[in-house]
Amino acid sequence: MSEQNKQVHETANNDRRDFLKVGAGVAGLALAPGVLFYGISAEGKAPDAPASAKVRWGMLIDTSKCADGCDSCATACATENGLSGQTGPQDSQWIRKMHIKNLQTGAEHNLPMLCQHCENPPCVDVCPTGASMKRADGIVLVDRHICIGCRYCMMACPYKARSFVHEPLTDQNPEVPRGQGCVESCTFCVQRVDRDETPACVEACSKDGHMAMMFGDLRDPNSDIARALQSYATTEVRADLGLNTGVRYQGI
Amino acid sequence: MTGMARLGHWLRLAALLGASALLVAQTPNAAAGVNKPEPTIAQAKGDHCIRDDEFMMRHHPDLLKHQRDDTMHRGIRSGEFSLKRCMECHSSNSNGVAKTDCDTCHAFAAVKLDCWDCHAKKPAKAKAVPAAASQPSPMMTSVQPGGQMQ
Amino acid sequence: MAENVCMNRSCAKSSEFWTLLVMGGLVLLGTLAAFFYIEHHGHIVTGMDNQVVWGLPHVFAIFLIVAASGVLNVASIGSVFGKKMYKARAPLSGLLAIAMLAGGLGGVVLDLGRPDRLIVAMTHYNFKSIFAVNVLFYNGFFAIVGLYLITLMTRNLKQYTHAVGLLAFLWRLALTTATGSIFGFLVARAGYNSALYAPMFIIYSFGYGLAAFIVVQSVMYKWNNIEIDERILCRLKNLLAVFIAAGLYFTAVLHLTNIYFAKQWDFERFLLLEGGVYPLLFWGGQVFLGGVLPLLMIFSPGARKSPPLVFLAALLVLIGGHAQMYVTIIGGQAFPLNLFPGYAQSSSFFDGIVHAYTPSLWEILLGVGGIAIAFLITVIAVRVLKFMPEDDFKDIDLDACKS
Repeated sequence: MSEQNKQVHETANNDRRDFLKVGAGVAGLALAPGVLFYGISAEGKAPDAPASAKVRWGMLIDTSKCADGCDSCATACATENGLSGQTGPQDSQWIRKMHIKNLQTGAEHNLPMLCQHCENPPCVDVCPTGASMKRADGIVLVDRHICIGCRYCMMACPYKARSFVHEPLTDQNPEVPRGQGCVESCTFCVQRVDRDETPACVEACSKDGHMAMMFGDLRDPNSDIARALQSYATTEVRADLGLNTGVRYQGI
Repeated sequence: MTGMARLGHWLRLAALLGASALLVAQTPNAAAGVNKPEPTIAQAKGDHCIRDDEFMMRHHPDLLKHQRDDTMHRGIRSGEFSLKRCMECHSSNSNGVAKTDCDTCHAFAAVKLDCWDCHAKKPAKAKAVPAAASQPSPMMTSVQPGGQMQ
Repeated sequence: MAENVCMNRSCAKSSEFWTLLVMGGLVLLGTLAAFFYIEHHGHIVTGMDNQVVWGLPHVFAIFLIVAASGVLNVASIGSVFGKKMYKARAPLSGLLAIAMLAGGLGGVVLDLGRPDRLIVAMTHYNFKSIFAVNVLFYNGFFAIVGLYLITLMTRNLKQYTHAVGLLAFLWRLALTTATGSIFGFLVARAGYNSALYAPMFIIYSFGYGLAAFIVVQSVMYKWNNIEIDERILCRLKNLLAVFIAAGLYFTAVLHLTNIYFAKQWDFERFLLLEGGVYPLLFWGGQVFLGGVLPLLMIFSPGARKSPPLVFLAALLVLIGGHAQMYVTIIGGQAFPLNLFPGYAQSSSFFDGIVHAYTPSLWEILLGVGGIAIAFLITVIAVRVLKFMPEDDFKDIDLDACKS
């Protein structure tokens, strides 16, 4: 099974489709671990279970459904995680709405940009203390207990996904500790994911009827996200860097 | 001669250090009988902590640290020794001022806490009903365990 | 001769020593005030933000770190390559290396978001991080250069000088490689992401280090009313010229490579032509003040007989070095990350915009703190120990320096 998993994320999207066709058939052969495998991804993990490498959380964003001027995702993120919601140069933004326009064709797209939860995250590579870390299930986090605030990860991130907390904070969300002098970024709302909920941004996007964001387990071939990734052409931002991002975009 | 003098100097220094170490070691016992000021655990709700006082007093830093790494790095959220759980009994909010027993006791012991730089001094909001009632999003995954087998 | 040429208690004027000490101390006091102010209020009181995350403190600090490794070169030429003229300067060179590294690291540490957790940086290592590797190199540098100084200054340990000197030389090459790689390993940004940063920083360090050495030596000589020997001056200035030229060469190769790559055009146009303060600092500061002008001064007909001219040239190299660091560090961040090549990008998080950076008074104070630390260590050390270069002209082969 683990071999299959490895293949799932190493294989390019096109190959992945073929693989999964075969994989679905082969699954029967390897079913003893398979039961556990699907069990975990379908049910979310139990509170006492550690994050499992059999799961890789990911996100698929359909840019064609992302509405111009809508920032429900960013607002929901700020509410859930206790961010100020302000957008000054020294304020934290874990998710932001980007507007892009093709310089040749004039084609315009809207999309949310957030931590891409790379499989090979440069922020984790460069962090001197190991505060920047990737959980077994692919969620990239900052352990604020050992973050010294050097900001090297912010230099290294290709997506400008990280923010530095520039001033003392009070009244944090008890579930989302964050404070002065540390670097932070999107956590995929790990506190929600761990109790089997989707990230706040995804929920808000669906609630507003846009349905532009999809969250799920990339390693579960039967999850909606894996199926969508099998069916549509999707892109990684800065795919040239080979980071194998957990967030994929459709329509650009 | 200078060698001897130097040796004597070191011996005296060692004796001094030894004596002061003894003094320090003796202090708690000596003070035990004295009526010394003690921090009051004012905010604590309920009858008792999750372990006996002696144990908690001695081990809470290690317990918290262990739990913190389990939760932070491995996503294990069921542990008993989380700061959030402490806050359920040991914090209070009067007139918008959050107070904790942690602060009282640490002020007494003169041990600086920097937990509050990031952590809230209040218990987590009660969730409607955890896990069971939370609708797994239709997007998250659609297959039930074992579903694949058919 | 030897009796007169020291700044030791025995011969230097005490009041001047205390004046220097107070001057340096006052600056350091300002730095500490700024440090506590920033630690209390957060980095919101600085000009640094989520776009330009490293600011002026890093410019000063990284300059000092690079120059620190370079200044040791004087000792290396003496101990490793056996040039006696340089060997006479080895103690001062080693001292300056330690002092400047301490200053540089002080600057970096004081700017941390959580400086109270410095112990974490010393106990938790992610060895894949070039930053963590640097921490080891810096600590090792102190130890090795300290040991080297001890072998130099202790009569019965002199036979180890060569071996320890060699180790120090190799260590410093590795250290500067790692320092350059802090930028070289940043895959994401247009301005960095080049293996050239490692050798380029080594070359820069040669230049900045020797320039710093010449400046300090000139001041010490002046202070003690010593005339530097013409032939020694000639050697030092010509070596400096070689380093400046090599630095310019590496700079040219870096930018020519970038100019050849279409994907880097926007960045090069920004840095070399249209980026406002950055082209100004690049051409005016790094290239002209720190390169062309010192070269012209060094090779001007009178330079051989004019210590002040060489001193001035070295000072210009230091100024140009700061301009280079500013262009490299701030310029590299001010240029926006290109998430979607071929697209115009905008967002609430300043995507697609050249980021403005205006340092606040606090970070300026923080920045000069590193220099103050290096200055204080040097002043105190040359006061209490014998670091003044003393040449014994009998053993020195000083023939071939013509220009």
